[in-house]
Amino acid sequence: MQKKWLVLFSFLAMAFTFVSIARSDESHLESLRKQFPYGLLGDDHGLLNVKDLARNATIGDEEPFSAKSNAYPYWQCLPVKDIALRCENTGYDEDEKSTLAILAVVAIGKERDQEYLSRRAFSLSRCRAFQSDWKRLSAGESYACFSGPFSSYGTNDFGKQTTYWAFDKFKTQKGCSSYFADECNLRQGK
Amino acid sequence: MAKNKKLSEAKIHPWRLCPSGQHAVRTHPLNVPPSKRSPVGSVTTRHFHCAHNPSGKDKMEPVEMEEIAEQYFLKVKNKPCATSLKFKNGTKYDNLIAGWTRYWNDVLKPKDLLKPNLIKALIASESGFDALLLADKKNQNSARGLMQITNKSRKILANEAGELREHFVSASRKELNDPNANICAGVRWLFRKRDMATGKLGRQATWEEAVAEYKGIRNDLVKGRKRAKELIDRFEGYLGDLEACKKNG
Repeated sequence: MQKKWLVLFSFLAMAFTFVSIARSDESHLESLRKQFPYGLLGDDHGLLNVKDLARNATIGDEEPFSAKSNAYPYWQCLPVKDIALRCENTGYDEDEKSTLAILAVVAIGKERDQEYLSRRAFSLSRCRAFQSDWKRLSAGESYACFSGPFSSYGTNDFGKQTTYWAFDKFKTQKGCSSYFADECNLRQGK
Repeated sequence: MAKNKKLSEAKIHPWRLCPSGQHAVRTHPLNVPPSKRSPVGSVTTRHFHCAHNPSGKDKMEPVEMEEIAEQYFLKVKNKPCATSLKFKNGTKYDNLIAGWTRYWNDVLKPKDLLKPNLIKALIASESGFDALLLADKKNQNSARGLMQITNKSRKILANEAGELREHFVSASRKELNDPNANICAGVRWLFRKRDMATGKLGRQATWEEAVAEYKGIRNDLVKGRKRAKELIDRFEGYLGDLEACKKNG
């Protein structure tokens, strides 16, 4: 009899914990959306905080996402297993005296891919450093969040529908890596 | 002798403070070493003056950039479209963009004038009008400011290695955090990139080809690579919005 009560109590405790976590996740997301209703596309899987969204609101006018929203950076979180970070070699630059590359984060989707591209070609060695960051910060992770303004709807080299974004930064549970300095170490007011 | 003196006092542009071949030095304190008269030395004031450039060629420095912007830019008529492009600081630098576009057009005299809208679109695509952006904190040589000027570009603009023929721009890395200096240098750099594209193409490059060269993607564009096209399309999108604004307003 006592054993039955113990089993019932354990079950109720587990159920209560599960509901609490679910409610806490909802309240985390609700809280983000309440303060920045447009800044996050989809679920953040607990990876983002208010500072992340607040920073983007200092860059562009907050507005619901549309094909005309090419200033305000949006966050979206994607499954790590579908993502690759590539450095597309653009050749040697005589002025920079180094080989340059376009950074391309490619997230494969069922019908549409997402690509985050650097704003210009920059040193291949730095692009490789981003690849190292990605390997380190995404290892063992389920989701990664990306921030950047929308660029265009298009198709990739294989003719697949692709949404293009400008790359600002990515974030996982393990940390953050950004194109511009200090964008992962957000201070109050920035 | 008098005619030679007059020629040597000629300025590159009426806005300049100093004659060609000289640069402005701002008023600054000067330490006078100890002497019999003043055994402990003293500090005096060296007033604003023009100093000769060792190369004898034209050089623009931040002190002149400040004065020029302050005195002349409000009156420049050909401004970029006064739309923010939905950036928080999207209209903040319109006067500087107008002024430096006008200045470098006057000095370098391209057949097809550079338009201020193009510079504004380039800034939108490079930095979203955030003046303090540095591309890589671990590398202070990386691109910085509104027009994302690299340290290598900065050195070439100052003619440290003799790669630029004329009309140098001298500014430190820190000075390039200033929007005024950054846009002055950035526009000059775009002219440089157009010259380079022209040399490679064997014909006069367009300003859009200059932007592609500026972004390091012109070769990829020629090869028809999608990602390079996306980068230039992003810039073209901003430019289109600015050009449409002018037509409508």
